[in-house]
This record gives sequence, C-alpha cells and structure tokens, in this order.
Amino acid sequence: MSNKNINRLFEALTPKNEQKEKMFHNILVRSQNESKRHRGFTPVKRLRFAVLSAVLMVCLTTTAFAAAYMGLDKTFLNFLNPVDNEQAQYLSNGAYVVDKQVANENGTLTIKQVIGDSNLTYVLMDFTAPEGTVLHADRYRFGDTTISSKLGGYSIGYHVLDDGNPKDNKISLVMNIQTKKSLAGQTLHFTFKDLQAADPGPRGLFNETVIPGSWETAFKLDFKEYSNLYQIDQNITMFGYQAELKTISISPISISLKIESSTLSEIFEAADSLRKTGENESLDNFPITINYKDGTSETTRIFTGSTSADYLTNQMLTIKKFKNVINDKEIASIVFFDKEFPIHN
Amino acid sequence: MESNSLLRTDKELAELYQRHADLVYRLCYIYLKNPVDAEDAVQSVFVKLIKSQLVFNDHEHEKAWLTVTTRNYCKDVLKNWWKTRRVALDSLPEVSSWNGNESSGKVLARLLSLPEKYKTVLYLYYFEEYSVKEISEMLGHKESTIQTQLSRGRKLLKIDLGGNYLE
Repeated sequence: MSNKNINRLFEALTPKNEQKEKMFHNILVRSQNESKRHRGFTPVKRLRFAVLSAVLMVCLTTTAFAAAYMGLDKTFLNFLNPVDNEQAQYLSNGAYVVDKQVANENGTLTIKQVIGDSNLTYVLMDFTAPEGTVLHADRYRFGDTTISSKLGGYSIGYHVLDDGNPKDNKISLVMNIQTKKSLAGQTLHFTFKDLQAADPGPRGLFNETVIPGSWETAFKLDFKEYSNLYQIDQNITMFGYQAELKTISISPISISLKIESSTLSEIFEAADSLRKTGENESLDNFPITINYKDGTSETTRIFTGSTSADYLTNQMLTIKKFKNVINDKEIASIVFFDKEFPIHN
Repeated sequence: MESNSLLRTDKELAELYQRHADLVYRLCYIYLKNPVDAEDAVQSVFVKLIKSQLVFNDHEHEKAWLTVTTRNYCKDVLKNWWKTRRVALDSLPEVSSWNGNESSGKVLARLLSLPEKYKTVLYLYYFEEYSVKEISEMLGHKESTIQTQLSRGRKLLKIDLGGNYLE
C-alpha cells in the first residue's frame, strides 16, 4: 500500500463544513451549560455565543451555515413536549432544518424541520391554502403520500398542531414516518396528494378532499439519530408461542422492539385485530411497561405506533410512539410479555 | 497567544477550532468508527480545551495536546460504551477513488478494525506526518516501540488486505 493510498483513506474521514459548524455550535452550548452548572467557572459572556458563531462562519467560508442545528421550531417543541430544558437542548441539537417550499395554484407546502431516531422520523410542515380559504378542521392529512425509495415498507401518519390561529388559511402538520431502519442522512423523494380533512366530531372519517393537488419534493433527512440499541437475544413467550426478543432501541421519541419467531402468524392471530376502545383509538396488543429509575412506571395501553411482521424472515418490529417525549436516560428496565429487561444507560 | 482559554478572544477560540477540528474528528472516527459518536467526542474534547488552564507554546503544542486528549477520551468512551454500540459498515464514508480490487469502504473498514495502537501510529505518521521521535514524545512510548508498531501496523494492513495493495 502506498503512502498516497493510506492518506486517501484517512482523508475520507475528514468532516464536512456543515458537520464542523454543527459541532462548534454544540461545543458552545455545552460550554455555556457547564459554566452555568459549575461555581467558580467564569461565565461566558452573553454575546459570546453569537459572536463566536459569526466568527466561525467567516472562518469556514461556507454558504451552507448550519442554522439547521440552531434550535427547534417553537410549534415543534410544544408538540414534542420535552421533560426539561436539558432534553429540549438535546432534541434541538439533533434537529435538521429543511426549509423547503413547493407550491402550486392550490397551496404551498413548506417542509420545515426533521428529527428522528432508529425507526421513527418526525417532519414538521406548514400548508398554506390560497387567501380566503379557511382551514379549521380538527384533523388533516394528505390522502396519498408516497416515498420513492427502497425503504421496504413504511407507515405514515399526520398530526395537526396548534399554530395559534385556527381560522386562517394555514395549518401546521407533523408527519410521522415509521420505518425498519433509520432515515438519518438519506435524501428521499416525496409526493403529497390531496389534502383531506376529517368530518367533524369524534367519529370523524377522512372522506373529504378539501384541497386537491399534488406537491412533489425531495429533501435530506440529516437529523442526528437519537437511539441507543440494546442487544437482548433472549427467549420470551408471546400468547403461548416461543419467540426471541432480539433488540430494544430506545430514544426520547420512541421505543422499538425487534422479535423473531417461527410462529409469527399464530402470534398475530392470537393478538387478534386491534380492539377498538373508543373513537380513533385501539389497544396496544404488544404493550411494554417502562420502569423508571425513580420507581415510577408506565405501560403502553393505547396503540400509538406501528407493528409489522415479515413472515418470510420470521421477524417482527413493534414501534411505540409517545404523546410526550420520554425521559430515555431515566429508564431502568423494559417489561415485555412478563419478562423484564434491564437497561444499562 | 493568551494562556487561559477562558480569556482567549472569540476569534482565537474559533480559529483554534478551525485549525484542529479535522485532526480531532479523524482521530475520534478512527477510535469510535462512526460519525455520530465521533461528533460527540469532538465536542467533549473541545469543551475540555475550553475549560483547560493550559498554556500552549505554539500551534504544534496545541495539536499535540489535542491528539493525546482525544486518544485518552476515546479510550474512556470505548471502555464504557462498547457493549451497547454497534457499527454498521455502511456508516463508513466512501473514499473518493481507489485503484485496488476491493471497495474503498471495505478497505477503510479493515483499516479501522486494526488494533488501536497500530492505526493511531499509522495515522500520525502517514497523514499528520509526525516523525517517529515526535510520536514517541506525544504518546509516551520509546521510539523503538513506535517503530515496531508502525512496522507491525503496515504488515497487518498488508496481510489484512491480502496483498492487493502492496507497493
């Protein structure tokens, strides 16, 4: 091997300018946080943060300044509802700003920010209809959303956020994409077709297209992947059938479990179709109990994520989303089908 | 150069990062083998630098301090995290061009899988162009030890690569 070839190998490890800007931003945030925490440590001057960022911009001479990592949109932050400031900062550090618009005569779709983990990706977007249109339904979605990729299966849902003005022509939506693998770093091509609203009332069904049209765009999902993967590889019994819990993946926004079993069809039959408990709600037939280090616990009673099975490979994946982000650093163990798995984080 | 990092001017701090961020990131990547952990480690090393009261003689002294601090920090991280972290081959960056028979990603993965002492010495010698004497001072080993590690590292690389990329 020549020196030149060894050099080329190491050269490949050089960070991109965008990465360097992001790291520098985080260094400043961390040094600020630590200076607040430790007495006797001289506080960083108030303006230092802004000045340093500006200086670094000049140093790096790049046009793609990573404002991407400068914080979460307030609406997004309210939706995620972090447990404390530290977690808000943590989530903020991993968010990626897309800031991309696609428009036609029926409206403008603005893709704003993305965060995600190993199996769940949240995309914050605004939809603005032509002037004079009022978008005030409780629930909206695009009737058809396709992702051109080799994801090998995905699940998509939408959640309407409170943008402070329910009677204007603009709505804020969070799209959740649940996948087998993390989408971090990928550039995906999306097609959003026909904005639909749900009928009013708790039984509301999405059967009305309120804004027809198609919005196509491609954007990068360059968020920081939050998950920690725990290798379990232990036998469990699900509805009387043998299975093996392979991994548990934990982040502030979701917990995913990968299971293998040669009797998956029997397990799913036993779990039955999801039982309705109320309007737009189902029971989680593969619930987990999260035991926290402070002695509290919670069980996923309502189905909030997705569960998929591949009968050819005998693998199933169940993803649990949460109404609020979870304090993943405080988890002591996860209980799944009466077996407790300690989490050493 | 001012002696206390807290008293460094804003411009100096940003320039210091600009001077050494690549070196620290590459070293972190060599140890931790994935970009996410490498980014976290870079941040921790520079926060250590910001908090340090060290007087640097010149840029080379900064570089040497960061090299040793990065090495020690990454070794600590590996002690604590190796049980829960897994590395996927597809997370490795592509080398821009390669004339060998194997894919560049594979070659890089093999290089990164070499024992820590060999790949660090190879990196410092071939990429950062430190002399054996300088590396021995920086890492606190005898020159003969560094020579041996360089020689064994080169040998391992050749063996690992099946002789495809020999000079």
